[in-house]
Order: sequence, then structure tokens, then C-alpha cells
Amino acid sequence: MRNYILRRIIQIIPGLIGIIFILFFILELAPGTPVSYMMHPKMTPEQKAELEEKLGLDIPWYKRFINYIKEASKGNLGYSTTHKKPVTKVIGNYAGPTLLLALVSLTISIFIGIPAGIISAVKHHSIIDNILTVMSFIGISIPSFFFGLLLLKAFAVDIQLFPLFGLKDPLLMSDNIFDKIKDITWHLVLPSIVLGLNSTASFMRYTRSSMLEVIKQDYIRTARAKGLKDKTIIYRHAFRNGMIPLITLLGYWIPLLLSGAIVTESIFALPGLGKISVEAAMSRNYPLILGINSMLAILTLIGALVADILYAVADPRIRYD
Amino acid sequence: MGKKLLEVKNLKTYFYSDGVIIKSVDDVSFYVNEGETLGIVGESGCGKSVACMSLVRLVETPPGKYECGEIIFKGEDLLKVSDARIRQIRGNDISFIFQEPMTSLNPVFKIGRQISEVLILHRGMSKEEANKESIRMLELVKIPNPERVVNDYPFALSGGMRQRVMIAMALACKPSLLIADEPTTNLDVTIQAQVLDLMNELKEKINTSIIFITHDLDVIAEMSDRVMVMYAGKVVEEASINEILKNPKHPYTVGLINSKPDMATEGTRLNAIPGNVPDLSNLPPGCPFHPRCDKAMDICKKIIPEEKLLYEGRHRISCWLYADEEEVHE
Repeated sequence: MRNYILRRIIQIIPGLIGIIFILFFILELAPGTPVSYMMHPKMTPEQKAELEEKLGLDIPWYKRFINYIKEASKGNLGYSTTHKKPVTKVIGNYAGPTLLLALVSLTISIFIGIPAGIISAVKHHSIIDNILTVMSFIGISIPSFFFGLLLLKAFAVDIQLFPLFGLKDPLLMSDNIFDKIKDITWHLVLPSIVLGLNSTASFMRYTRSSMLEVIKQDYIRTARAKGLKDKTIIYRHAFRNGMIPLITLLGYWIPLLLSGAIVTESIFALPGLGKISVEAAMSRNYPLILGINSMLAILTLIGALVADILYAVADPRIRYD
Repeated sequence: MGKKLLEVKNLKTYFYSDGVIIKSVDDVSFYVNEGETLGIVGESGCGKSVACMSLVRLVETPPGKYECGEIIFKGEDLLKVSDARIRQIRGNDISFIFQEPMTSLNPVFKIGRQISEVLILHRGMSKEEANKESIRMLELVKIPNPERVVNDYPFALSGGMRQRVMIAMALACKPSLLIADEPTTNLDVTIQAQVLDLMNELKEKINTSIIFITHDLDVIAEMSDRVMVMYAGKVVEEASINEILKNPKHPYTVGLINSKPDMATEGTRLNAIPGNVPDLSNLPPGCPFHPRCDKAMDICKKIIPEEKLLYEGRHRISCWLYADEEEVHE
């Protein structure tokens, strides 16, 4: 097992290099360069060439790729010209809200979606299952930008229960740490609901079908014949088996949540990775685009690895060596 | 014979699905004496498993429903007791061994834990005590290296070994009634013989009654004292094993015995019963067996025959052929 984990961690490196290579290639295909964003209309071709040289854009993209990998291995992801700061610093400054939002939404999805899925499976074809099913289909099919605006209209404009945008109240004077946490929590309620809705609904559907499959198994009949309580049968015997496919799902869900967070951040004007990646794309900020996407790639690869490890923990039949 | 441990009277277990009523168990009565093995024979879908699952209300409701009947076990009607009480009986007084050893054990729990679970639940043992007892039970069912096997997962064991684990689990609380639902059907013939011997041996040791469900008459002959033949949710014949094999009365039983391969029939075609098991949701009027019966009379197609006791109650039969043979004495 230890060797397996070690080998998988080492495998992350070539995977990441491959992803960065594809990113470089795609950026090269896109029309325009950072210079076309930065240049002044009255710039002469000489000045333009000078700017290109200064930014290192005069050398071919594959050579730039090799340089990038070399520097990245030393922890240098380049310099964001728009922020006048190293890319690692920019990402560090903006990653907090995004990760927080994704984490809160994931927690909501797990603690609501999975129990709701279990109830739906145990009482399948009952009224409660039908209600939950309809709700989950709404949750899956409603686009987040629309649902977000709906919530804003209802709870921030009409009722004014929650703040309209941002992560912090600029007028908050208190230095008390609890007041600050309360303020941030209050700002995160609506974005978390928007981002969490889709995954909650999806987790519910996956849990339901997985549990329905398990409940039919012979070993559940054995558990019933032993005289165990229904609760013990469902939450111990069935759930341990039912969650095995969910673990894989969870691992691959992390990148989906992060990219979903980007859209949600735009709706609620949260200062997160979403905001800067949109800006970076607009301003052709190559280093920042590469930096953010590499970070997402690393998280995806780690998510998959964690899922595979948890998979072996949950299912004794899986052994890696 | 000892006194009656279990008596089932007029049990009806129906299934309701999409407006269709499936009469899986239709007016079935039988009893099991203390220390006795009752065999139940019949083709797949004749209701023998459902009848036994009904004994401790293991049939899912819905779609199933216990229409009527009484299941008297140690003075209690199991169809009427509370859910909590029936759970106390399941696995403790009445336990099961199922047909599919490969899938009847939970794949994600260790063997020891699965056996311990019943001991902790019904006997109030601590984890350590239950683990020790589990090892003792595994020893009893002759599993080699029981100390190691308690920490194994089911996937590490063969089908025969898993069925032994199932037997150990079923007998852990020393039940008064063990229901074995085709326990050897999916096993190799040699393993099958070992498991059957083991069950007979343990039956003596623990002094439990057994209901043995199978479609294999050879297995029944080896295991049972008394045999009950079921067809389409009804009991068609019941008598001691010797009586059934020597003097089968019902044409269905005769057909079953004749279709059994043995040395004498080697090289010739087996005498299969013509036709198929009837659709339980759409039974023919009269005796359900009449379309396949070579002795069918007019009355068979109209009226369901009533159960009749012959030879001072030692032979129960439900067939029009014996309508006149009332109260025959030897």
C-alpha cells in the first residue's frame, strides 16, 4: 500500500507536466498575445517587438514551456504583470475564498445529499422519495447563474436578509475575531447554497441508486435474518457497501466544485480565483492562467489519488501492491 | 417424536404488484416437532422459500402481505407479535442458512465481526467474549485455522467455507429452529456431502429442529424425518420420508421421484414431468397441477381438492384420486 501511494505520487509529476504542455499549446492557438492587450494603439512595431522581447514572447512556445517547467520546479510560477506580484502570491491571496466556498458547499452536499439519498432509497416509491426526486431534478437542471440571481433577488433585495455581494462588510469596524467569522459566514450563505445545490442533488441521486442496488443484495437479507434493527442494517451493513462507488465520485467531484465556484464567485462578486481567472483570460495574463490551471490540475490529481486510497480503505477486496 | 415446536396454520402470503396478486403461499399448514427435520420439496417458485421467510416475517411488505394464518412458535403467534419481539426471535430462536454462500455474507466486514454481531445482539456478550465464541463456532463447523479466519474477509474463503461460516453464524445462538434454504444447491457434490454431514452432526449437538428446503430428493432423503411436497403455493402431500419414497400418492410426487436420475435410468431419457410450473398470478381453476397431470379427471379442472389425512394422519394428501380413501387404516 505504501509503495502504491508513493508510486502514485510520483506519477502525478509527469501527469502535471502533460497538462501544462496542453495548456501552453491551447494558449498558443488562441489569437492575440499579452502584448496585444498591453500595447498602446500608437505603438510602433519596434516598440511592440521590444515589449515582446521583454516579456520573453519572442522565443518559440515549446522553449518557453521548457523554461516554465524548469522555473516551476523551483517554485517560481512567473510574474503577474496586472497585479505587479509573483503568480504564487496572487494565487495565495485569492485562493482562500474559493477553497472556503468549495469546502463549505462540499460539506453541505455530503451532509444533506447522502442522508437524503439514503432516505430516498429506503423509502423508494413513497411520497417522500417522489418529493426528493423532483427536488433533485430541479437542483441538477437549474443553472447556477440563474438560481444565484433568483436567491439574490429574494433574500438580498426583497427581504434583505443576506448581503448582496462580496466576502466582507467594508463598514464592519469590529476587530473581534468572532464578529469577522460571523460576517464572512453571513456572506457565504447564498453562494454556498448556489454552489452546493447541484452537487447535493447529484450526490442524492448517486447515493439513492447505489443504496437501492445494495439493499437488494443477499447479505442484507442475512442481516435481517440475524434480527438486526432496520437502522443498523441500513447505516452499518448497507451504507458501508453503498458508499464505495460514492468515494470515487467524491474524488472527481473536487475539480468540478472548484470550477463551479468560479461561476458562483462572479455572481456574488467574491474576491476568489474565479474573479482573477476571468481577469487573467481577458488580459491574456499567461503566467496567471497557467498558474491557476496548474493548481486546479494538481488538486484534481490529488483528489483522484485520495479517492483511490479511500476506495481501498472502504472495500477490503481492493488491494494495491 | 417430541412435542410441536412450530405450527403453521392456513398461512397465506400474497404479493401485490401492478394490480396482480401472486399467491406464493396459499393456505399452507404444517408443523415441526422438537428435534425433528422437516424437508420441504418442490420446484423453483412453488412458494417453499416464501413460506419459510414468512415464519419470521422476512418477506418485504409491501409488495408482500400476510393475508391470514397463524404461526405458533413456543406459544406465540409470530404473525401477531411486535416488530421488536420478532427481531429477538430472528437469529436467536429461529435462524437461517441461505442458498447463496457467495453473496450472503457482507463483503466489507470480517468473518469474526459478522458472527459476533448476533452474539452481541442476542446474548449480550462483550466484543472479546463474542470473538472467542466466534472462534469456537468456526471450530465447531470444522473450519481450519479459526483464529486466522475470524480476521479474514468473506472474499478470502471458498463457497463451501463461506457456507460453513453461515452455519456457524446461524447456530451461534443455539436456535431451536434452523431454516436451511437450499444450503447446498450451489456447492460441489463433495462439499455438499460434507456440509450435510456437518449439519446432521450439529443438529444432534445443539438439539435444534431443522426445516430443510430443497428441490433435491436425494438430499431430503439424507436429511429429513418427514417430507412436505409443495406445488404452486400449496402443500400437495406430506408424510415420513420412507413413506413418501415407497408409497408416493400424489401424481406430482410420483413425477418428482420418477424424474430423479439414478443408476437404473442410466443411458435412458429422464422421465421429466411435462409442462412448466404455473404462473402464480394466473393459476388454472381447480387443482393447480391438473394441466400437467396424467391422471387428471373432470373434477380436477373445476374444484381444488381438500387436504385429507390417510393412515391415521400419517399421510397428508391433497388430490381427488384419493377422495374416497377416507380414514384408511392399515
